[in-house]
Amino acid sequence: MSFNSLVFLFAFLPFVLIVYYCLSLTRLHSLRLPFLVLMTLLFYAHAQPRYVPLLLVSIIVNYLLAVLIVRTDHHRTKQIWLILGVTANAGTLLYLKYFSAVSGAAYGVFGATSPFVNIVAPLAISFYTFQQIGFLVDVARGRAIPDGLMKYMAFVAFFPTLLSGPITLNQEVAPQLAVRPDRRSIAQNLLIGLVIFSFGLFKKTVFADTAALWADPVFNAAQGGAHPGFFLSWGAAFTYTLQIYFDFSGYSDMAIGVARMLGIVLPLNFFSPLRSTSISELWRRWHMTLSRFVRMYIFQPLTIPLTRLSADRGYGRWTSLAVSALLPTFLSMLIIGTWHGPSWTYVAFGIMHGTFMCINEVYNAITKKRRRGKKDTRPALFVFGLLTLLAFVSAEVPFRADSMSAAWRIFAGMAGLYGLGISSDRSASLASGGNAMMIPIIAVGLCIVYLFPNTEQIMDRVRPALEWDKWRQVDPARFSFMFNFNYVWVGAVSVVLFFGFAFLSRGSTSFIYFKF
Amino acid sequence: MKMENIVSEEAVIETSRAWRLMGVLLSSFAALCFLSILLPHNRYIRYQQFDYSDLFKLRWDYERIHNDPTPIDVAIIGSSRVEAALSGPDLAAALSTKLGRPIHVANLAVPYEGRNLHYIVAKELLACHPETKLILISVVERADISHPAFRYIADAKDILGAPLVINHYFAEDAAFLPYRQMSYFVQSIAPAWFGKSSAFRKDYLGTDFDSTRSFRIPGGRLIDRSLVAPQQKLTREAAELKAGLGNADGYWVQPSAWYALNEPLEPDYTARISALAKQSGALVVFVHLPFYSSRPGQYDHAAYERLGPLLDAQQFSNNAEFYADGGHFNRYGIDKISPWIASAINPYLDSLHSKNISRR
Repeated sequence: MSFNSLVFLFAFLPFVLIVYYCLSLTRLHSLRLPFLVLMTLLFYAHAQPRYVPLLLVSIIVNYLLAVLIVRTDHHRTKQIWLILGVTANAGTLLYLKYFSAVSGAAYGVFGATSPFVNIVAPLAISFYTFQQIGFLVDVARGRAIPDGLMKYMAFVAFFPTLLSGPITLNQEVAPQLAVRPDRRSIAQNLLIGLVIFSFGLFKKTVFADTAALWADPVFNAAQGGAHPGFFLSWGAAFTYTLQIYFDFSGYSDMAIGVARMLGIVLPLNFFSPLRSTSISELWRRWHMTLSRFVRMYIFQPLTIPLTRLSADRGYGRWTSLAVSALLPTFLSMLIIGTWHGPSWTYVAFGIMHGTFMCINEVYNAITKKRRRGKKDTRPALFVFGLLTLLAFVSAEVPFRADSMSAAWRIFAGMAGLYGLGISSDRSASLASGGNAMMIPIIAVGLCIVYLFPNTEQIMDRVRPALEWDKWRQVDPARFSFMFNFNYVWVGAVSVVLFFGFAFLSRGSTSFIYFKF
Repeated sequence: MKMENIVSEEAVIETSRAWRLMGVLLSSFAALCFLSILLPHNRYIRYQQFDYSDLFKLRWDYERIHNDPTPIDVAIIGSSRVEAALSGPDLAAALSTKLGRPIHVANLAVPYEGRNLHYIVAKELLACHPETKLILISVVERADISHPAFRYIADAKDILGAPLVINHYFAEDAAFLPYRQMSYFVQSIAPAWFGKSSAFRKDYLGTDFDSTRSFRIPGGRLIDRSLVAPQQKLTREAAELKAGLGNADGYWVQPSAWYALNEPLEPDYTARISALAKQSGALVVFVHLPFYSSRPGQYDHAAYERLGPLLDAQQFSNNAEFYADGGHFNRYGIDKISPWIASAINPYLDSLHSKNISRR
């Protein structure tokens, strides 16, 4: 079930909220978590019923492993259980998500058909697997404890975050789920949640789905062998960037909003990343909970021993930088790229971002002394921002393309190898796939991205996300405004909700991140 | 991270005020949905939404009904089976010869099933052409679905007036209205920007447009009516159609009351068309054109016969050379079907004419 579906908006969500709060406010309050879990399974089964047992088995096995880790006093035995747990999770993920494609390619080399081609990756498997790997590591490190199977199930099988994140930590969500909702906070949480959700729905159906109308035909044509010209290629790359930007931003808002309606505050997942002035900053602000997971559970475990190694071996400045920073950075980005799926296009996306990040690191190392204590000038910041944007837009080409050959055709178009691609046919250029309408779409999209506050900044007064104080002062928008509890604001939000709902019926696409 | 930081949340506003604001938000949303439905637009714009698709003929339907002064004596309404098989000009010629006076036939059928759209077309027809004497309505084996064009074409009150219990399409059709109304409102303000026109278009295909002849749809795709399907393809497609009936071995069984309750569109809208026609003094005649090698009686005869005469072309169903695919007749089939239909409806037209004369 998707947040942008009528059945979710008008049946599932109202039903869950009504029953959840009815249970919470009565003597039946102990049933509210089982109810949430049951509803989450229904939510999941609506899309992929056959993988519900896998989800349940995964949750139960991980919980038992966490109990075994906690009950063991020996460090070595703890490590063995942890390694077993991480391996089992990662192995299941790799098998279900990648084995079909890898075995297909391997069999293909010998001209045979793989018997595993029919394996379909379960929806959300990478999200709930990462969440549970993080939990096992945190339990082993003493940061989290298995506090009852039902609470754990409610943490993993929490429908607002299950399908596409945010990838939460047990210590963030479990304590909130454990607390019975306070009667006085229900209306306020419902209102705040609905406001945040409305912004998300609007971003998805009005902006992202509109951008898709212009990006898709060009990428599909490139897949079919067409050679798009310079403007069309850049236009498609930019409109797709805006599509995925508003799609994921909208999804994150909707997840945060739905959770808030249930009284749960989630971590930030998206914070105006295109306003970043470096690629590493962009990744701290795009899919923040995945970046956090990679940083905590992949980058740091890689970089700490490598830093020790370079210190022990007495490497020079540049070798040390390469071994302890560039290598883990590149590998982390490659892992993020391939996390999206078993395709060379995602590998290319990871390699491009890994390369950009390394260039960024090297630039920082070179200019460190010169920049010490000095603030970047406004023109410099503009140039950095522009370079970051262009780098990101370029990397979105293989991310969106259905094959590397299609990506190369778009890249060649962006390099001007297929001409300028300006159409003199007005109706053709106005239609989907034409380039004229791309200009206002890109212009409006970029204006919103660069000039206006993001949803969390608009909702600043109500602490919209966990650790909000850290982000409150970061990158304030040029035109700043904040939600207020008055009729004018509520009226404005109803207009936003109305447009989000109305455009839903135009034919809303699935969230891009659902397939990862 | 400390737990207290997460769970302790100070109330920002009073509970009663929060409930009030919530109520205002939801009621404003509902009011906006309602107001959007009232947005005016040019109805001709609606019928131009499918210009480059299989349903492009909907625009011709509108133009034939509203802009073409030629009267309509006999109208054909239904799905692609009758769109492809019943030639308006051929029927007109045959009936005119038989009756000794000019008879005008318009084939208003369009692809896809969905009785709700047939009702909308019938309503438009009878409102603009009260002279219509006979409406041929297609009958297929199982058509309890909403037509994909219904939500684009129907008036808002028809969408909201669709059967509510248990209509699987009601919510989606109703939810589509706000977007549709806004879109049509904007398209009506600047139709040229969207490749539409608010005035009668010069590229009207003409009174005698015949959808039983091969033609190209505006998108360029050829609709070839002279195609003879290979036997293997016919057999496969017929088997798929039989399997789609959901009955063992393709035999038809009388639907249960539970089925009728769950699939209200076909009986409800068929009755509405019948009532409209009755009000206008027109006769509804049902026509069943079978798919290839179908067994006789694959639908609820009695239900249709209660509302009007029923013609069944079952005798043509085993001639493979008559079919372009499993469900549609080709030119050779059309050449047999049209004269047969003309002969079959001739007595009804004759008696309607006699009645009108005697009434005068």
